[in-house]
Amino acid sequence: MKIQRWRLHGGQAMIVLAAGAFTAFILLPLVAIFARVLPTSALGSTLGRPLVLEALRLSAFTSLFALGLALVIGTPFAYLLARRQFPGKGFIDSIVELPMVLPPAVAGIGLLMAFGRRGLVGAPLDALGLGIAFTTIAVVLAEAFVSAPFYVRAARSAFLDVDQELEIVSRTLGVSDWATFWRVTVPVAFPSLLGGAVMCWARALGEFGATIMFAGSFPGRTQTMPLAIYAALDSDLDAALVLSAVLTVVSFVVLIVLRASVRRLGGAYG
Amino acid sequence: MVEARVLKRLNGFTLDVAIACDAPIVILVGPSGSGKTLTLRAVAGALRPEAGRILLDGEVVFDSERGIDVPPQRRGIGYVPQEYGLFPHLDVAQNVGFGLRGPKTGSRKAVADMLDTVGLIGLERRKPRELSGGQRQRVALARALVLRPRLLLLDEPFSALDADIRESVRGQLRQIQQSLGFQALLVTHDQADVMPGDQVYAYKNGQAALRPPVVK
Repeated sequence: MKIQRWRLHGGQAMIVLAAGAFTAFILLPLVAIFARVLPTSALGSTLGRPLVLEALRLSAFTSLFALGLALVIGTPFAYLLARRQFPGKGFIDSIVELPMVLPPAVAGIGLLMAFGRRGLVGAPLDALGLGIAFTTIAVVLAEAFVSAPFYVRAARSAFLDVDQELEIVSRTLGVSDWATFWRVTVPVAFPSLLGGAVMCWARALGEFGATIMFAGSFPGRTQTMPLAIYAALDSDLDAALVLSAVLTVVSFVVLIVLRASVRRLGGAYG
Repeated sequence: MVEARVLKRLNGFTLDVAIACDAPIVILVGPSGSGKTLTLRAVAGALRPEAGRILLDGEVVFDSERGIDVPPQRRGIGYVPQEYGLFPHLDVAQNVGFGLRGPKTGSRKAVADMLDTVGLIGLERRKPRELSGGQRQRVALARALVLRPRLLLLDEPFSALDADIRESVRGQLRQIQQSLGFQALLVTHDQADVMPGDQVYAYKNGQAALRPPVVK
């Protein structure tokens, strides 16, 4: 008995140790960033530097644009995946999620081979004077490619969770299919849709690998925050740290919103 | 008046029924999985039969041979699903007024009148999750009836209720039916829902048979 109890305590100690080590492992790098940033008297002036400001502006613009693309195209698409059966659906289902597991560098090469100057689609476009690679549009495409699946996946399961009876009732009340979608399906699915959108946006904001390969790292044009952090690492550590701190804060906010949306989902309609 | 001939195959199950209903209250009774709900959905327009014909008050709303399939929006039916299908993000008044069009003041009056009819005055601002089972059912009834449908479809309207209030809710439903005068097609697995005067179709394995009328 004594041995058994000791074992139990030993097991508990192991769990506590593992939990502590893991938490510290996650927290330590974040603490390290703020430990360097916060005492800096130049915090404000670093934030105001052109390199930092341009990266902030570009990141905000491109990530929101990528999110917009995901919402506009992904919402009806996700609804289709949730509600309709059609040939090849299983195939499309897995294609949609492929970018979530594909290494970003591969995505970057792929986009380059497709939309680059000598790419499949890029070559004819380039001939028309519509070069995409290494432009801000390329940044948006890279971010959308990598992040949109997060939204589509969340939206599909959000729509699946909406009781179809609600939609049937709405139609029998004379409300068109289109209006039913906006007045019933979307509001009921909203907390999960919001969660998916936030995940998508966060992923777009943090995109690095595909962007640097497909869009390059040109300040003001394609150098988003993660790329600016990388570029500034050697020359301007303060700027890199400040940008990192900003992204860390944003990540925390994203997490809080996600938690709140999950809570709403669990509690609001129960 | 409902006449429906419906053939539908679904995952190895075959629904093959012909019903003709002219009593004020028609009951489709039978075990779960016998095709009652599928029949309701076909009448509502939410399920497309492979073959068949559905007439409401003599108007063809579905005819597989002539390629007629009137969408649910234009069939003039009210639908109260199992668990009532209330819109969780809307309050009682918004649920009841969901299908109303036209000027706001007119809708507001229609909603208030209907809430009065079903006895829900004072609960306008409640969300569905803040209502009892019986109240939810009356909201669903009011939401369908405020549009004056020619036919009301009810799927297991009493099964989600506690046994002690079931009897009084049965009475209330019949009272509302009599005062507003619509035809009701009611699906149930419970023989106790049948009253003298009701027309009854007994469902079994996807087939329906008219039962001789019950005499007092």
